[in-house]
Amino acid sequence: MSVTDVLPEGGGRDIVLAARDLRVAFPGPRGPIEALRGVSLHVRRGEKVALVGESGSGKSTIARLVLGLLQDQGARIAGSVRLRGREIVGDESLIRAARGDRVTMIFQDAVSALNPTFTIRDQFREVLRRRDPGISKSHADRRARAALADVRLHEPDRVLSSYVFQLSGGMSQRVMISLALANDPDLLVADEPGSSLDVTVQAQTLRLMNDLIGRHGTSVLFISHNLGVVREFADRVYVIYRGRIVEHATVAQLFADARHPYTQALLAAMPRLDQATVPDAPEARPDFADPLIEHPGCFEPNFVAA
Amino acid sequence: MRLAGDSAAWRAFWRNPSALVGLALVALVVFAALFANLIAPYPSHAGPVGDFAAMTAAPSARYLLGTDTIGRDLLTRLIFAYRLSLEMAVVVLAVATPIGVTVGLLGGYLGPATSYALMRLTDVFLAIPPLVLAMSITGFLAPSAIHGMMAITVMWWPWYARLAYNLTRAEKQEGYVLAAETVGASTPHILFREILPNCTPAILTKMTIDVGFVILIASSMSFLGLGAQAPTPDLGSMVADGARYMPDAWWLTVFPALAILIVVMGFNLLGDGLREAADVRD
Amino acid sequence: MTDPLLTVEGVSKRFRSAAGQDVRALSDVSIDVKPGECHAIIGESGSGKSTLAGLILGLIEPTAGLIRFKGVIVSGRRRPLALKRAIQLIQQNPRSALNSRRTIGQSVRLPLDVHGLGKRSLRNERVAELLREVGLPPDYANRTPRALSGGEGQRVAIARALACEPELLVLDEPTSSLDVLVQARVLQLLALIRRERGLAYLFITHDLAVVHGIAERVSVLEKGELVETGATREIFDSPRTAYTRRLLGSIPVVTEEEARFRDRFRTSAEPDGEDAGA
Repeated sequence: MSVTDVLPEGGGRDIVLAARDLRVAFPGPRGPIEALRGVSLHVRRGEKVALVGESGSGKSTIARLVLGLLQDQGARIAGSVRLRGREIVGDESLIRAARGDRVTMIFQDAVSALNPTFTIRDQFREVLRRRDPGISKSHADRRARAALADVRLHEPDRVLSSYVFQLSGGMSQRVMISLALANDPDLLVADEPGSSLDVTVQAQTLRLMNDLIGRHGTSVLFISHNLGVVREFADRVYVIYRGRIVEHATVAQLFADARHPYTQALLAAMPRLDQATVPDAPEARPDFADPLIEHPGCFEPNFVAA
Repeated sequence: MRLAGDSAAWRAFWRNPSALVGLALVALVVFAALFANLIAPYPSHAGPVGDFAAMTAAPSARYLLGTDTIGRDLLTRLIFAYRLSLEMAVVVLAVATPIGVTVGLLGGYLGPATSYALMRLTDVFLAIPPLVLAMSITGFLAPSAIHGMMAITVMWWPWYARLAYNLTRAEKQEGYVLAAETVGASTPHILFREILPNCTPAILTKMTIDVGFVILIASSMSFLGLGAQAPTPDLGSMVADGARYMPDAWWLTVFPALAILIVVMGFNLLGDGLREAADVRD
Repeated sequence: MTDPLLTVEGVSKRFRSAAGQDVRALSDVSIDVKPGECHAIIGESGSGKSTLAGLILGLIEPTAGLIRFKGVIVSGRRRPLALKRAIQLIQQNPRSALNSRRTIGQSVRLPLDVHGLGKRSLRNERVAELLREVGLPPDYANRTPRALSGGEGQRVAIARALACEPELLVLDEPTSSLDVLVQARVLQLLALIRRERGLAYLFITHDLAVVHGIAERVSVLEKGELVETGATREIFDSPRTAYTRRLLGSIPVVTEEEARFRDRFRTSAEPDGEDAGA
């Protein structure tokens, strides 16, 4: 996937999500705490874009912002986020309408993300009604069964009649994925998906998700702390450190030729599967805060001033 | 020991209007109780003798809340009654809380057999209706303030046992308990130096709210004649005594009842404020 | 050939689940740890690794088999305080492992008080030494765990364990909840401490990449059974069981070389459908 096509001015058609100079601050005991300090990123139709960072980097804040889940926390938000060309900062109604339908999210831990008091069938009906409020129960059930078959869950009726705590971790993760894709959304935000699962189950689940996304053509904003997972599933990567993007590259570029000191430190710190070595453990250095490095072909598109 | 979360909790508390109202009312009551001798207008009226020239007098400039049937200043008697009420509450909680919390800690932490035995014992005490229990105890021993306190203590400790049991069961799952066990700490250490400090916010909050309820139960008992006896000024007794004279000498009932309302509401609001602040901390 | 420090001999553990079912957490598991060695136990959830840790620490008793420490049978009986000192635990979650109502100093000092180590008046000084040993400034003793990051919390937990002067450390996923950079630092600290103190480690994790650099031997647990054991190099060069191969094939990697290494273990046949049970 090459990102060399220059976007025409004013062209929002190809871009599903575009954030521009996003700043978010939360109220803290001693004044506001800046979670995001001017983040710009974009996701195009059919792309899988990863946002990689450690805890406290601000990556989860972006996920929640895109889903409109930040407003209740007293966050101060500045900058621009456009979903399919329409601004969502400052306009909650838009994101509320889109949520569950055009934009969906999957979480780290399916068991705590899904409602324990509803059966899976009820949750499918709820989700499908977001797109089609008049959908009949039998039609919804048919679509639910098809969605479960897509994530290779056999015995769909048993799963539909179950509550989430009756399913294994891997199964509930698949259910969560199929719920998120049931309405064929434009954008899927995946916040550390499967990171609470065993590695064998996670690998299987992510492969399945990848497959399904490919078939639907969904765009994905994939948030992770695990560079290995990003390498397998993303097309393009943003590395985020302390609320700022520090490197922007395609997956091929990043892993062959990471240029920013922070990214290099992250890669050096990963334990190697094929060698008996203890990974490098660099201390936080001032050059971690070096400015953004954009690799060839990776740049933020310009908006037309509204 | 200042914790980072604590200051956020305190700020939440100071910004909470009902908590501040509660604090003000409690401060008022405590102040009155502590300095009863100094601020009561007619301290001698706390005893058996009043101003015979002003019996059953309506509120006036001289006797701000009126006088009772033997000419004793109502305001004075209410102030001293507050003192008695607070004393009772303090004593009851000072005895009931340690007993209840210890039973709950042991029940929550020790093995299934001990736990079962302790908590069923607690359930037995919880099953008996409080006033019936109080009546039996004071029927057995002569009614008095002290016997009233004993009765209330006996019915009160199980609530703390339940609370401590639930808190302990939750804390037992935490890593620090496992760590203390693997390090080799003794069971008393684990219960009282590791687990208990994590339970104290909830326990203290409950104690604060309970002051009001102990006073309410004590007043109910003395309303029935089971608590402090004449001539000791007591809120419940005063309500009972004054009931006969409604609606003419309305002040004899209304003011003591309002006094009960003030103290119960005050501790309730304060306790709720503390509970909300504790939630902020978590 | 030195005698092993710890031997787990044919240990099984069964218990009743809350639903009344008979659960076999471990079946006939035999493992040993030599003095100063790092032996990694690889297991996913349901493998029995936590049960194994509990048995070794003496928190639970085996249904069958026995556990010896320095040749002496320690399972099935109350452990004397001196034995409790010798085997210590580092947990996965440092936030939970430290009592938020006690200062760091109090937590690290606890073993000193419990076991009467050193003169009472000198114990605070010892706490400061231990904090320095794990790379934390001594004034952290006055802080509470809430003020600490995950990595710092784990260091405090390590300092507390070291206060016992143990011979064997059981580490249960010690870096799994830490960020990559922090994980690397903690792993380096653990390697350093092991070298300097000659400690033995039983390193329990699901992450094979982590153990490749630090363990001399690896044992793989699957559903309560020991399916493979051997020197680290052997396990990575020629894993014998399908499960171990699947584990190796599932690890996300970042370099081409690792990808080539790993892809040898990825079968073309995709395991399909649901994974077992709830």
